[in-house]
Amino acid sequence: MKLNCHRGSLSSALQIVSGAVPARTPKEILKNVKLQVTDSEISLIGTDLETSIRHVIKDCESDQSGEVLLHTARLQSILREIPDERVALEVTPEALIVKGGRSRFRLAVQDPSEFPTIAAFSEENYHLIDAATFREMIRRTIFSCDVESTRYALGGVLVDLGGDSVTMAATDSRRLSVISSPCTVHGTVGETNSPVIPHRAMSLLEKSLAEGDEQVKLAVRGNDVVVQAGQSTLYSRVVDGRFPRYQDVIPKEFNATIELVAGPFYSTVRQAQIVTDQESRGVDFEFSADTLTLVSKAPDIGESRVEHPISYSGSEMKITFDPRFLAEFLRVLDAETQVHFCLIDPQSAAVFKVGESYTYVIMPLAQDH
Amino acid sequence: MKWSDVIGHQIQIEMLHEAVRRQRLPHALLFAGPSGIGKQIVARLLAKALLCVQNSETDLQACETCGSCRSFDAGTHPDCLTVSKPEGKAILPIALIAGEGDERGRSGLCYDLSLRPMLSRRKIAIVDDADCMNAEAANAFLKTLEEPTPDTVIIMISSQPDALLPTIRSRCQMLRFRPLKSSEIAELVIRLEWVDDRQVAEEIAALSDGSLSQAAQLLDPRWRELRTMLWTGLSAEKLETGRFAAELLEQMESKASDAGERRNAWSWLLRFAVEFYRNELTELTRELSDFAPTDNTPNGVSNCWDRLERTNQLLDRCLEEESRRDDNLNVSLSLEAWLTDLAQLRRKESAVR
Repeated sequence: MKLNCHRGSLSSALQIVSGAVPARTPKEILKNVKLQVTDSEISLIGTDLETSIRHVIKDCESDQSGEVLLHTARLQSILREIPDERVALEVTPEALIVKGGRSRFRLAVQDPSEFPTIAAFSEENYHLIDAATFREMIRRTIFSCDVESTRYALGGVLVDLGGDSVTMAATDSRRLSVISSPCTVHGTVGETNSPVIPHRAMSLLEKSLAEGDEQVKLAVRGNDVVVQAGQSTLYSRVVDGRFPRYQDVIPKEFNATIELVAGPFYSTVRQAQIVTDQESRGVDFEFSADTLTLVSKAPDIGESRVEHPISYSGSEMKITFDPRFLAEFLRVLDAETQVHFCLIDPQSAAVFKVGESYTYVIMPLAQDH
Repeated sequence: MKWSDVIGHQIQIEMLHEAVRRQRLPHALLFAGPSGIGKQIVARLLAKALLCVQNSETDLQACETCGSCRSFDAGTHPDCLTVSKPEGKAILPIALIAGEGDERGRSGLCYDLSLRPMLSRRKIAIVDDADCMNAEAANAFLKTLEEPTPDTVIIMISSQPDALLPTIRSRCQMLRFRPLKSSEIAELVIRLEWVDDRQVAEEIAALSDGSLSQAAQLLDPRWRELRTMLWTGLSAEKLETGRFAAELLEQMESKASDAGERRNAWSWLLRFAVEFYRNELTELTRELSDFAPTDNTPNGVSNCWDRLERTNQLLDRCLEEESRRDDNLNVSLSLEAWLTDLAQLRRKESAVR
């Protein structure tokens, strides 16, 4: 089999697929990517057995169909170093020959049939979501995952697929992010399906969705989910565990609602965060008429008071929050975003709402000081 | 490899087949038995058959043709997770079970088991050298071991099940594997083409304690040379402790480069000694029973009894030394002390005689 590829497009395809190639693995063969040539397309496949990426290479021709394993790191170095615009690959049963204008590399190959098979996206029934929205949804939920817990379901993002909307939720049991967005269904999808997709796959998805992609196709199968966007298809195994019933923890009624603008409030929170340490993580949020004062004290560092003007007319109230949880939430918002800060009392969960679709629930800390 | 290729362990294999036939396979199994007898082979065959996507749920025969079987043979099956003690290490660290440092909860066996299977109906975890898990690793594993996600089978393999935490042991169903018969070892040694000569194979098999890994060590002729040397020394009229100890030590060191190897050589030496005295004991018993009651030779009988008694004492001394094998004593000192004791025991006897 002989191939002729544009160096740049092969290199960028390799770059994308290598996102799934494990750096350290006991299964040596997984350090390779599989180049698969079929009648219709030429694609690269990489996997760490948890997530897999299949990427169609453009500007590449082959004289026949077949497959070969390419050592990811080695081929990456070759493509980086040779100056030519096009590279030729020649596959024989014994070796892979990579040819540039003046260079020739003969590399040992492994049996491609030993590499796990990753089928092309062939689902008939799937959800269609706007790519930019999908990326935004991931960005706004993924930070709430609890990747260190042994409750593995919390280490992923729940993707609740309804008939005309998709909801993502992530929680570490101290805070919860929920966001939903409309979507369309292609074909027929069965009853509501709610896979939990691991954190790693989600962040890989967020990174690999290119700017140009318009729509994302998302299909849930028995044990994995398949997401296709543009030239790339990402497969991820789903977490086998029960995700908590997140709807139940979102309060419905509040005693006070405060309007905030994300950017300035984020800056205030960051200021308050300076004088905190591991022991005194909490920052007191003191609400009084038209002013919110953030008070923090750390025995070894000092103390700080930061005021933030708000429109508030209720009774005075003091609630303690972990500022990191607020900062992580505010960071994913645009500076001018309008945020509703909804409160009940110092013991109950507080809720941030952005528009109708994005909700962030945060538990206050106990006030022991 | 198929079930029919397995030598020995037919009862255990039948039990596994029966459990699957009745769909009563426990989610955690503990394969216990001496090392080098094929526990892992049985575990892998079981895993392969359970993962096969062509056979029926109640059948424990892998089809050998489906994608699952092929990728199992290639060692890349995504649903077969194996962990074992890293080479050259004495413990199976927590990093392999639950991830370490930044990776805690994000890698390791427990994390992998939290995902849905990829290719097959279920996931299989094989934990080899399970007794080498340190307390941290074992405790991190408890939760998964007790209540894994559905469709998970965990196979723990251990040559020292007593060294496992009781909490681990009680969460598994134990299946004990016996050492192989000496004829089975001889058969294997020949089948594996380790030796051609059946007599050598049988000699090795007899010394191997039913373990193929022990037999593999015995392939090195120097072990057998050491045995011959020891036997010649022990059957000599007079035991010259100092010289003999030096000779043995030299022979052992030609084989062993580091402390671990020396210890291993020392334990072989003791085993050869035990074997020597055991043989002598058998010989004496036979001699004794051959005395016809009409044979009026009371001296001969009492002489024989004395020798029996003495051999018993010598054997006891060897067994005592063997039981101290794991106490980390200095090998050359132990060797000299042991030989001196043997020489003394023999002298005492000669004086009586």
